[in-house]
Amino acid sequence: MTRFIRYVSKHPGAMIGLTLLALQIASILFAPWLTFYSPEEADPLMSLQPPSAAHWFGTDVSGMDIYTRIVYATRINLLISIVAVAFAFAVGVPIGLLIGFYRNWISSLVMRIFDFIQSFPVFVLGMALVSVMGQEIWNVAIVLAVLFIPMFARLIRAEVLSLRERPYVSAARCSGATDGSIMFRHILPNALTPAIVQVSISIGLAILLTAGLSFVGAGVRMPTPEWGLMVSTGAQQMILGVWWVALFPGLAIVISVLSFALLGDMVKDLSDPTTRERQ
Amino acid sequence: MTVAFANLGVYWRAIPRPLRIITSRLVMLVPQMFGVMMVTFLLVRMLPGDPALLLLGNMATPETIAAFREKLGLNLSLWEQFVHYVGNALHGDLGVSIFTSNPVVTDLLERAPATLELITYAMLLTILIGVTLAIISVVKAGGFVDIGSRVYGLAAGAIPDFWVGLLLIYFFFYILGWAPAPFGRIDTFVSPPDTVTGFYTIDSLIAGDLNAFFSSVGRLTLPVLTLAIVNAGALMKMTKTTFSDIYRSDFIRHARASGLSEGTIRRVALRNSLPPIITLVGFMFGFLLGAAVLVETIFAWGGLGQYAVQSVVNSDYPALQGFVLVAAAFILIVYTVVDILYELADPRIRV
Amino acid sequence: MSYTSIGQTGRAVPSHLKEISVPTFPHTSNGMTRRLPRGIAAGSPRANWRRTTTVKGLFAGLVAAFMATTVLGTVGAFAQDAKTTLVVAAPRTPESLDQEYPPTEAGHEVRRNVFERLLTYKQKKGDDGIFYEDFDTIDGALAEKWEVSDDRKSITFHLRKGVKSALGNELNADTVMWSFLRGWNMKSNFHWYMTQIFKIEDFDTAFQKVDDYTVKVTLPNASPLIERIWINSDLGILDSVEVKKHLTDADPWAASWLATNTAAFGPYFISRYKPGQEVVYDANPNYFRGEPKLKRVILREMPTSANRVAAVQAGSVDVAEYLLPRELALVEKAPGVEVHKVFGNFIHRVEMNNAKPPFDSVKVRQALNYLVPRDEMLKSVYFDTARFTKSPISEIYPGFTDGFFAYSNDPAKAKALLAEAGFPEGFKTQLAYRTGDQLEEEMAVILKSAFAKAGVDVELLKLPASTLVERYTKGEVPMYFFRDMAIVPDAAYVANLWLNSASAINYSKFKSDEVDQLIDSALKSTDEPKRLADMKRVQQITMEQAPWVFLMNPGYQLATRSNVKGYSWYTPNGNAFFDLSKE
Repeated sequence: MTRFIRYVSKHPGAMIGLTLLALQIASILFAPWLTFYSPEEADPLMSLQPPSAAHWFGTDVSGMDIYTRIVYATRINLLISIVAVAFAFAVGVPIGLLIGFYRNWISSLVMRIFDFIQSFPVFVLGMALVSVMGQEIWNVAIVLAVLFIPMFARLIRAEVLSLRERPYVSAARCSGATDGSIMFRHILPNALTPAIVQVSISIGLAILLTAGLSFVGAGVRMPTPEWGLMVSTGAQQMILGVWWVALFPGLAIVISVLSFALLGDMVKDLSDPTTRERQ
Repeated sequence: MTVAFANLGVYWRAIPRPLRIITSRLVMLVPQMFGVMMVTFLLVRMLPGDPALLLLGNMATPETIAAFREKLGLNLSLWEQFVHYVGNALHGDLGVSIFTSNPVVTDLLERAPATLELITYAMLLTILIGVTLAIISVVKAGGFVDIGSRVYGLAAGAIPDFWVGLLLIYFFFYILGWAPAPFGRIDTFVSPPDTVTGFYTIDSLIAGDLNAFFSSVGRLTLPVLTLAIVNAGALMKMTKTTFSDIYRSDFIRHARASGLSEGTIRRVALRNSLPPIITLVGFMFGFLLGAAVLVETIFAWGGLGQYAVQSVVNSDYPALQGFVLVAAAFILIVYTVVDILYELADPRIRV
Repeated sequence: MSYTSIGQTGRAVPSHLKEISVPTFPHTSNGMTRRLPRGIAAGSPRANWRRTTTVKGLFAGLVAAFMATTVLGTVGAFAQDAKTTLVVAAPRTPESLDQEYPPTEAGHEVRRNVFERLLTYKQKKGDDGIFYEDFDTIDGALAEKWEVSDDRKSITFHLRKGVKSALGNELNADTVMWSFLRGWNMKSNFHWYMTQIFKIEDFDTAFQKVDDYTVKVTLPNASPLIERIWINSDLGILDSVEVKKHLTDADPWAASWLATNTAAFGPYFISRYKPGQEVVYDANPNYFRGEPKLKRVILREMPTSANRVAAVQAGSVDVAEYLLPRELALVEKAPGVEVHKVFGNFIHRVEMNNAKPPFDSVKVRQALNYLVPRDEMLKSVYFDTARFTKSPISEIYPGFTDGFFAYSNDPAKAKALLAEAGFPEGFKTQLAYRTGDQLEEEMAVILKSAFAKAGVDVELLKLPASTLVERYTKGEVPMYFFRDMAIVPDAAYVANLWLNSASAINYSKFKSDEVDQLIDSALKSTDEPKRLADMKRVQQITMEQAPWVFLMNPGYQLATRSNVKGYSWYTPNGNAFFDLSKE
């Protein structure tokens, strides 16, 4: 714990990351109290108002307050991303463990399948899948999860491959431990570290992907507050000089993804004993 | 039995290593491509919307619609349709786009140069920015460029490319009026140059058409800048890691102690760090194909990315299938080539 | 550690990079000597600085070069023959050039410019300087003279002599008869008109060649529309001499050739057709009214309306079609751009599936009509370019009446009606709109908020056009946007399209026996006053029964450069390039 505090005080990056994370958590929990309008209420007479005292970030084409929608969108974006990554983690880690531990034809087959999933143009695949399944929030999360599973599996597999040769594994085997207990009690705890670091980065990536999918219209549906969807409704207006509709949601995306990247760096540094020396 | 297999092993290892690498990689391509075709086919079939109805419109009677579905072959069983499709694909026939009424292959070939031109220049700019910044920040560690590039690397990974594109349009077109309006590869009044390579920039120089040249270069600026700004960050981070590892390694220290100039040392270090950089560049080429989808949509580029979005929106099965197939094939081939080159270069890898 | 920065981004990585961590190249002494250059150069700090500056300099130079070429690029090129070439930015290129293809907005424009019909309305100039069709006066086009029998059962066309197509083939009765034959056999638009409006059953008894320049059409029953139908843009005459060259056994009516080529007697022919990209019209030097002033029209597809706006503002295109009201308001103020506005005949509404609950209840449908904030929508979505829909018939057509529109924005009344219908707490339903239609999306969001005031919870469904059409054809979607126009300026014709329960395009499944009967008799009777009275009654019933949520008549607007003159409007809404010229 003290190590954590010492680290944070020495690394501005981590401090920024934590602050931004706190900001987002506050947005999620206290949205109704932080905003003054309803996120889906259209007020046609107030459409495309520039930022003002009444509407801090201006209004969009339907007259909805952008600041309100950005705050509420934190819920949607983070929910989708965290669920997707959690799911991918929960599925990818065991798979990675198994295919790393057992080096047989099944493992090779699974690796080829992953190769193959990852060779698709990710974006178009995501678009097509969401179109097939319907534009619900959960479907977007599921699609993203499917796209992330190979990554987690590979990470774990790489660690397992090196760890299984360690002396303590052979020692455990000599003392009669079963495959299962070796995998879960001896290897997994040590293999998890890079995957946990990856979680943070992946959440950031999931936010970008969700936004991108919504931008082309293959993500969540109107008028759900979601950062990418908000940018897309603002895209049309940009060329006509209306800058606030697309700018602020984009900034929200940048800040959010940045916070997870910084957090990822922090977790990486904290979990790796060697980096402590390299100030 | 095992003896026979062991003998096979002997025969296998007798083949020169480079050939072994290439063969094994190419062989793996075939089932992967087949898998790509199958999954694409299944996926696209599940898209909602009846293309027959879209094409025929409101006034069509149920009989006309049924007849049209017959014509499009939508009434056969899934397996039959798939076999039919694979057979045709092997002959270079990817079906006819429901939306444009052209053969999909024609559509793709028409639009591929637009995307390739965009990706190529984006790649060049990305490499230029990424590698240069990386080298400077390693050589002058702790300097302005080093700190700045660290911030840039962090930020670049967080910025959505579609947002950057919009901001660039806003600043350079709307506010400053420097950039041309973001629609298409060339001005409406200017005819595109005759096709030699498909790249408007090169073709217009070949044809000596300076108007077309300046127009197409002007149009390329913003989309290329958009792609480069976002992706140079990743390349820069990677290059920095590799280059700095080598730059601080023993043999460089030895070279410096031997009295070589800094310039020579930098060159040497760069050449040693090239292999992973080349790998990354190869992989980014494939990645940019996906990134191009969003950028092409914003700039109405008329390339493969826009085609893909249109085909999803219009439930245009053949077009979407064709695009995914071609894109996946392209990415697979790029990876295979990169893998081959890498395995050739690194003697530690066993085949 | 194996998580490189690429791994962090999680994107697909080549296989070897996934397993092996970032390698350092083997630095054997062998490698070292091989890579060291011949000779050892001494490097001073200044030399090093110069090296980095070169790179920086190169970079800066490239940036400057890019900027320069960008600026030069905007200056653009000179158009060839600017005065006789028109460049049009359209949302979509036509799906097919064949008249028998189901009518679409882009298709109507092709038909307006490439085909000529037997009859036409006389052109008149409105007070706004725009040329309109005079619905009261019919004029001859390809037919120089025509006679209608007293019983209004037959019409005889005397074709104009010496009319030539772009390929030089002459108009005669043979080509007219073959056009009819093809239309009849293609079982599409021509067939629909002949069988649904004229009730013709047999081709040979109905269509006769009298002599080389005379053709007679006989109907089984008298029809009040016996002359007007022949003005429709779907009934152009083909140059059969040319088309017949492209018949095959598999394709006896040249369906695939005519989908991508044109052969007719109109003012233009299409010389280049690239679906999804552009269409090029070239003038027909043999056109019977004289060669068009614009020799070439280039139609470019630009799906995003904002791009069309930018194009017309910058002068890269002369005409920008189908802009949003907001964009029109903006572009009107730009120098060098003019916006032409007409009342038009579009009716944009939300149709409800009258056959399924809760929309089978009149009270529910009326309630929704009382929830629409029409004034706000008119201001914010339409920028005052539209008018409330007060009747299912367009305002400019004879027979129109707005006397039966009684709806205002009255949530209290709506709630009362819903309670009477058994939904005091409201209900859940869905509203579908087309992907890519910004206007519909804006209105959908507004309606969602508005309907919520009475407890009606609407889920918005954004669907690709094909899916939407499929769903509402099958009656699977409770509410959906629908924007349509009827080409024939006749109230009974319009009512027959949308309100007749037997009509294939009455997707709202509206059924009223009295309306059906009134429409049927109006299509057969030639007693004009009675027809008008009947249609008034139809409008009254429709407004009371409220099969649709009545929204707006958006009108038709076209943004052009100020030097484009001669703008005209025809009921199918496609622009007629023959009327235009550039100063």
